[in-house]
Amino acid sequence: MRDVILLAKGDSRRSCPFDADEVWGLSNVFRCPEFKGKRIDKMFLFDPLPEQFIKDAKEVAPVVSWRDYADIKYPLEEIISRFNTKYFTNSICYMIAYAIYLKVPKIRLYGIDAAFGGIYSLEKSGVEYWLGRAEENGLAVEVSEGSNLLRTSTGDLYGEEVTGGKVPLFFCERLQLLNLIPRKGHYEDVAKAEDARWVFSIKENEGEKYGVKISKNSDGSISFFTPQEFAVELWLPNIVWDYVRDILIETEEKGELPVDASTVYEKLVLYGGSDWR
Amino acid sequence: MALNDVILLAKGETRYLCPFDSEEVWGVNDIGSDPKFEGKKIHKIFRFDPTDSRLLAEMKAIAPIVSWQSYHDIRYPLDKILKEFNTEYISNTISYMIAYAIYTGVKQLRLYGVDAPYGGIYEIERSGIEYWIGRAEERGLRVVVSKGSHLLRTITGSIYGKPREGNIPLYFAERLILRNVLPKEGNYEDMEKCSLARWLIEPKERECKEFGVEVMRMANGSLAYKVGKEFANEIWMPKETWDYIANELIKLEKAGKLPAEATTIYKKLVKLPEGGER
Repeated sequence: MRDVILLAKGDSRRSCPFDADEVWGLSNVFRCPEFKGKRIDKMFLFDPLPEQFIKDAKEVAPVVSWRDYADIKYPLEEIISRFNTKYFTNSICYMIAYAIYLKVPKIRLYGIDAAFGGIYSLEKSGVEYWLGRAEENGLAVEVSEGSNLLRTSTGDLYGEEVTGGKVPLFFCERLQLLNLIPRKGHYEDVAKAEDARWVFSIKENEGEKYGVKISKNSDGSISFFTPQEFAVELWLPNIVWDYVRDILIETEEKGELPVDASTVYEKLVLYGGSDWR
Repeated sequence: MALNDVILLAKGETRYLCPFDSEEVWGVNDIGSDPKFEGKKIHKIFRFDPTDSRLLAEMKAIAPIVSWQSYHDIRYPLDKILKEFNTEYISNTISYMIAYAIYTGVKQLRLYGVDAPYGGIYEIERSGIEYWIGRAEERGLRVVVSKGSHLLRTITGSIYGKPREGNIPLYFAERLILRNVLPKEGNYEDMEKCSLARWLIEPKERECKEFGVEVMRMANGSLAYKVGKEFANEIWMPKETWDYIANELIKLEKAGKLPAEATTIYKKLVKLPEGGER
């Protein structure tokens, strides 16, 4: 076998050319209407699944699994023994390990996009561990265009280019920003909010340096006490900067911008995007 | 000559477990300025960000700096490493350090303070680190992760596809948040499950001793906790409790009422067991 395509349901699945020696499908990828009539050679399933789902999958291709419903038994014990790890965070990890185990020379990944932010970023952990092992084994790994696998958030080497900006912010401005960031919502939204919250929150070394006392309240909220005001240059990744800027603009357009947030508005909306990043 | 045993020391909570008993200790950025490490030997500092002169002086006073930036004391062999591994995927300082360890033939690498917690910027960095650990292991380098780190472990500690049950690493703050998110009243069956969940996540006496947690009883009968520094511990959850908590979180999320500070818990208890798959 020369090459295998690993196919999942991320957006880049649509660019899959189905021209490999084998195509291995993940989970319910066979239900995508655009793949009707396309050849999928093996299906990989590892979850407990309803009977009908398994039946539908088997109509597409034989199922590889370590579960009882397998048509092709996944050699779990041999693979754990060969690689000396049980670190499988999702089905894709199992598939990559299987490809290394079978000595497939090349794997091409489609629909495994690992978008930054939210749940899909979790595809990266575990999967990239196995990609590292694959590459060390001499497997060629090809990632589809549009996927964030095996790339930094900027596409550059770490330390090579600034992909955000440094903004001098006073302690009280950071607290104002923390108050403006939504505290509840749907998961995808609050996940972004949490990234921003992390950037603006007071770090341990600042606490020591400026005598900031941090106390965790029983409701999970955090209180800060500081004997003196201070300003620190914060590095904001573009993703956080854009997110906070949008919140500030939205608040301002509604006529609800708090008066004490006006300097933050100036820094992140009016001047931001030019000199500072 | 290649080193047999190196400790890689970063700034996560588990840094305090570092025994400083390896042939060399490699520190990340300004880790050496931590007052708790005063008098401890750090042999090399790794730094790759643009850096002002004050911070550079502070770091150089600890150990020589390894970098490809012009401020280096020991030149990081970037070109050779990129060529050797045929990749430019280096997403943070720790990735550079692991690549360097493989390249220089280190036999064992022990990681302290590389905790890769879920949520925030560390999540983005986590996968890049794991990529390099994968490469290291496949080359025969033994990688040891400190207790309390989220690296190289699934959320349950079991392989993907097993039922939701197991030891879940939770920070102290996450446990307090979870206590507040769980209902305080309801029918008997639910409250029985809730009561077990609360008992499992509340700080235990030995933890209070170990981490200096003070417990205070408030006038309204509720408990308040004070802690000197954050810590993570593994909490064992049976399937029923895990399912109960996950369902409560899902209800909140569907109603658009998931508190922002509960996102990492939601990720751990609801999303991660799904394997992050589409």
